[in-house]
Amino acid sequence: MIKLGEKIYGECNDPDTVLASEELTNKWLVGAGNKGIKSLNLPPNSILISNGDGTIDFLDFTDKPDTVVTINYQGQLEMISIHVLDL
Amino acid sequence: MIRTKDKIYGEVNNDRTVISKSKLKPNKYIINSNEPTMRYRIVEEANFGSKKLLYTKKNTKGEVEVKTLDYNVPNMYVGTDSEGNLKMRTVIMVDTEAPKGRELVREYKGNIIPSQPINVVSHVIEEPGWYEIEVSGAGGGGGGSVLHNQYETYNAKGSNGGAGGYYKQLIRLTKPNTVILIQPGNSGGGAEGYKISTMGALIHFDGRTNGGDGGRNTVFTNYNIKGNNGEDVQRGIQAPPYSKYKLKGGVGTHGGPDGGYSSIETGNFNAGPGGGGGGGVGPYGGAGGSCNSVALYGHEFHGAGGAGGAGGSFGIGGNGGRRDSRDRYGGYGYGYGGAGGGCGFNSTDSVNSVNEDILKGSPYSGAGGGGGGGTRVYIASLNLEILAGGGGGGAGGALSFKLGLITDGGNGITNMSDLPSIKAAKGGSGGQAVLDTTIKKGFNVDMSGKNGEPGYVRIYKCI
Repeated sequence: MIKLGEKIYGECNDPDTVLASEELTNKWLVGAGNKGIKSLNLPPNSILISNGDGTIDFLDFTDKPDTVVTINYQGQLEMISIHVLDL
Repeated sequence: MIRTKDKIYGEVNNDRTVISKSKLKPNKYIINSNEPTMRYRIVEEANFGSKKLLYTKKNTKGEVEVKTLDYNVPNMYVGTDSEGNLKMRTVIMVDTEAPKGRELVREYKGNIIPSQPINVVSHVIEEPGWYEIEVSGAGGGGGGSVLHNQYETYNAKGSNGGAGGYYKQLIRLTKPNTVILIQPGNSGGGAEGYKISTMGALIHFDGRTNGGDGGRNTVFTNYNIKGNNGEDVQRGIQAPPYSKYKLKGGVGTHGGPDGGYSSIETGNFNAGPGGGGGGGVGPYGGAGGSCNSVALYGHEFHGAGGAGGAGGSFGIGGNGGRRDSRDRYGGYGYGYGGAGGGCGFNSTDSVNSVNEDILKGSPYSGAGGGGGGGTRVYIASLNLEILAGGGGGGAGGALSFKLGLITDGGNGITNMSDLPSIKAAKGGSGGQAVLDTTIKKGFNVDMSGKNGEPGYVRIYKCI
């Protein structure tokens, strides 16, 4: 709605308007359903990945020194300890 | 906005309405622009740059942030460092079995000259993988030969020194910067023999038949005991003077090879050279053989032919062969390597003619060669130690009325399983015998034994 002098102009809200489902406290956003968006809670020391359903997930590397990312026999990402050489 | 028949109603937009600062391109991440002064939530596209891995990390305020890691580097792995921070790592995968190919990385050799300072090398293998280490002790020196005037079938030629002990070991290194301590043994010295030359009618003998020096190496530096003259350290046998007690050099306490073997005859002109001492793995080299007593023209001529070669490869060399008390050249087993061979000749100086030589005692026997120095390889991180003993020194040539036995110095042994010593450092050849009837004008021959080959360590990469 816009009021100019003695006149008021109005317009319909766009039916595809997106609403925040909560206060957006985090920089990272994800869908909240029903045309809503919400903040994404981030765990520390994690690699952002997508899981089998395509959902955003995290690969945690907390307290895992000298490891590399590998794929296990089930086809899932995991961190394994190895001896490595920096060249 | 709602419009009825005659009125228009307006409503305020929901304050949770989200608007964008720009046109949002498809398949781009959007993030909260974090502008709290704005009435509406503002979103914008996230810009990470190209080929970045996204991960989270707490900042100094304890807030979790999204960081990026550049993965635009070939042949690397995503991993963590020793402190748990995410980073790109270079990883070399070590096979479970050693590849068949070999590529020589480096060879280290002892000194061809015996009794030189011990060369200790620290070799660092930076790259993990499969490697093969070849280890050989030094070859023993050859025994000196004999001038004789009887039959060529006499045991007049000095015997050859033994080959060094040989071993090879595959090692699998899973960590970088493996340190290998290498101590290649020095060559066993050939017995110093006479050089005979003629100028006109005059025959020159140059040099003397001292035993060869032993090759050096050291490990057991705490040992300071040495064998006495003619003593077999292992068996505790003390050769009495003027006896034929010892026919060959003794064996080191912890297993050095025997020196060359020679026969002994009693009676005039029968000088028995002791064998060269063994180059042992253990702390003591074998003692040199004792000399024999000889009666010459009815006179006691003690110690005319004893040739002692003692060679302790790692430890203290035994003394050289027992000599006549008048002689100053009985080999002394000093130092930490192979000890010097004993003197095989009665003369104290070079002589200038055959007649003079006979007056002082003919070279009835050659001196024994020195034992070769042992080689040591030690890898602390693998708790692996390879000790390859040096070869025993060759026995000096014997002069006897009867044909007796004379053998080369024994091959070195290792503390691991022995492999054929044909691949090891070879012992020096014994001096060639000289029949005095062959000494004619222009004659020139070297009767000394030759040095053995130095010990070595070869490092191969398996490819």
